[in-house]
Amino acid sequence: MPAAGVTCTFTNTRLTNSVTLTKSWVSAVPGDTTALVISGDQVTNAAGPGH
Amino acid sequence: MATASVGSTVNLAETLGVSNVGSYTASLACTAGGSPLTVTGNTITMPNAAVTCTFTNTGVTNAVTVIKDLAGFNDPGLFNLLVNGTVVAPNVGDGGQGTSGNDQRRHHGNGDGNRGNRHHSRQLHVIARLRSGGLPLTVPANSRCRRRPSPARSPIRG
Repeated sequence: MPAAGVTCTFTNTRLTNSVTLTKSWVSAVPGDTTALVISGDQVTNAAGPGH
Repeated sequence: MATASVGSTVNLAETLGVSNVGSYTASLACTAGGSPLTVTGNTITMPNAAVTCTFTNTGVTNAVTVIKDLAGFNDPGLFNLLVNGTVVAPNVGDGGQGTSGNDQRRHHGNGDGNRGNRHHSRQLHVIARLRSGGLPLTVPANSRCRRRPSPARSPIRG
């Protein structure tokens, strides 16, 4: 023990993983589009709506 | 690329374009580390693995039936009925019909075989997109397509 106050910290880093959202069309009309969105309180780096 | 904390709820959504023409059924499926992942109401609970989800939109289709109706006189001629350029009923007479994606057809009335006048066969083209809402739909399903031959035309020889 040093001759000074000691502060120790446990740091827990929450695990994350990637989420990929893709689009598949079957018998679609050419030119039709859709916007995809990933959201959530613990979601980061979600790209803007894609088609 | 989006990342999500393990154990958190991730919402997945899509919004179809306002100017879309087609009608679609939609499904959502996800995998985590190559294995299926449970999806509940377009949400997942983030596992400790990379997740890939796919919205699949399948165009809604309906059958188009073309019916040959000869009106006015006893015409022995035979006709090919087509939908989008595909023959759905070859060499049919009065009352013959064909349905897209379906080989069923019936013959009655004056549809008496080939009668040696194949050159007399006429083609009734139906311009129709089979997707629901996929305009233009010149001949909607369940409608009768009628061709009225001119009474003044020359007799057909076999």
